[in-house]
Amino acid sequence: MAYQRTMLAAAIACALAGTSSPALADTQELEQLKRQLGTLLDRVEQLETKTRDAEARAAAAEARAGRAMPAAKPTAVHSGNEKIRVNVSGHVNRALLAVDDGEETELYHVDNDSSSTRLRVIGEGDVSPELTVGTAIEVQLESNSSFAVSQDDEAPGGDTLSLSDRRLEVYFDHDRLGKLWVGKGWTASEDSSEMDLSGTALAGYSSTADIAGGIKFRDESGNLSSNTVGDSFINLDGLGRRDRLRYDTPTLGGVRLAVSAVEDSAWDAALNYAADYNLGKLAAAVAYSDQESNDGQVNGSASFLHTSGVSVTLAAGERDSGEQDPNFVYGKLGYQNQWFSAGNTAMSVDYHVANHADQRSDKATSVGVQMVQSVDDWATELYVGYRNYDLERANEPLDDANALIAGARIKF
Amino acid sequence: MKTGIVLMVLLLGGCGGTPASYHSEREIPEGPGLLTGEDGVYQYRR
Repeated sequence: MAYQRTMLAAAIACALAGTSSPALADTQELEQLKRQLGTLLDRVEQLETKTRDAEARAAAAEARAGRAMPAAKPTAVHSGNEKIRVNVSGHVNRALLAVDDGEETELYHVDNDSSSTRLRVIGEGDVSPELTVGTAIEVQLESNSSFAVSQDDEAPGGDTLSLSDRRLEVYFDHDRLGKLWVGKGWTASEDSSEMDLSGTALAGYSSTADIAGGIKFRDESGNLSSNTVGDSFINLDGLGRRDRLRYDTPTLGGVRLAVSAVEDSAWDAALNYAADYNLGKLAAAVAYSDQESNDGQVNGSASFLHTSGVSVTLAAGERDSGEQDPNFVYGKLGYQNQWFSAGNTAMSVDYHVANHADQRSDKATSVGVQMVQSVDDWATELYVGYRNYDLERANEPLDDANALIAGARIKF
Repeated sequence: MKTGIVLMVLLLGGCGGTPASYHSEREIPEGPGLLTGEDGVYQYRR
């Protein structure tokens, strides 16, 4: 701008010089030209000032934007080959649980056992183009598990930290040969009764006892019996998480076979399937497991989520354990949609029948209603679920129990 | 019941959809975290 100002003054001076004819010798005309020159110089000065102000505002805005924008990967430290990764993640899941046992209504402050509060550290290294070696440490921290609180113990464990291991294992994952796991973790049959695409599993799924497993049924006199919800409402979900050696085949056409040799002479095998279709998504599993306490168990589940948002989930299982032979069936009908900009809304109703779980004459029936609202910007899911528990037992009339749970799971 | 479950899964396996992954809703959710941001994990690489 200073350069332009100099050029303008020079041009005007040249014009004045080039017009120094006798006609311009008139003093008044000379004075008029001087005034015009002064006006032009003032105007140039104003323009320079405005330009400097605009540049300063632009620099300040850029600095503010830089502070507001997060770095591309604020938690990542990058160097040369990046073949070693350590990921830390987890969530906190807290809820209020109200239970009416036919005699009294109690309010409990719980950690929802459907998806307990936990912390996970995964370490992985790509030791070759096809092989990844990994470690997994996952612990569960529950204060007042919803599966443990009861009418005579609202705070099981008291102030003692409830810390339990979920996964303590190493694994070797090869693209063509499959995956080998050693240590404590999911057995091959874990989750085989719990395939669920409804979006509402936080509030209710085939393990219907998770939200109130410690609650005791009252007899017809109003006295607490020793029969708990958790004893009777079973879903025979394989061998759970145990110390084991597990092998998974590579996934072929959506199908994966897994087998594991488990502590205490137990073993299991499972077939898992997951695929996308034009009509929606399907996930299914079937498992066989065997352990010393029984003569074998078969169970499975399947869940289909239609593109319309409607979902259907089914599960069933049976254990051969001599005379008792417990079994169960479960069904859930759900619907999910994004009605709100905050995130997905999912709702469902379900029905569960478990026979011979605790005693041969037992028939346990549960009906539930669930809703989960995702709030994507907060990495949060808000949920509410209601469930009725009805246990029929020969020669021992028991009151129904009704449970209402509402809470939030936040991924940190 | 046992036979029915096995037949159901074998039937589904033959339906020919596009292979997909299944993530249990009850495990740590996939996607961003409140504190970990877009990555969803605190991550260290070397």
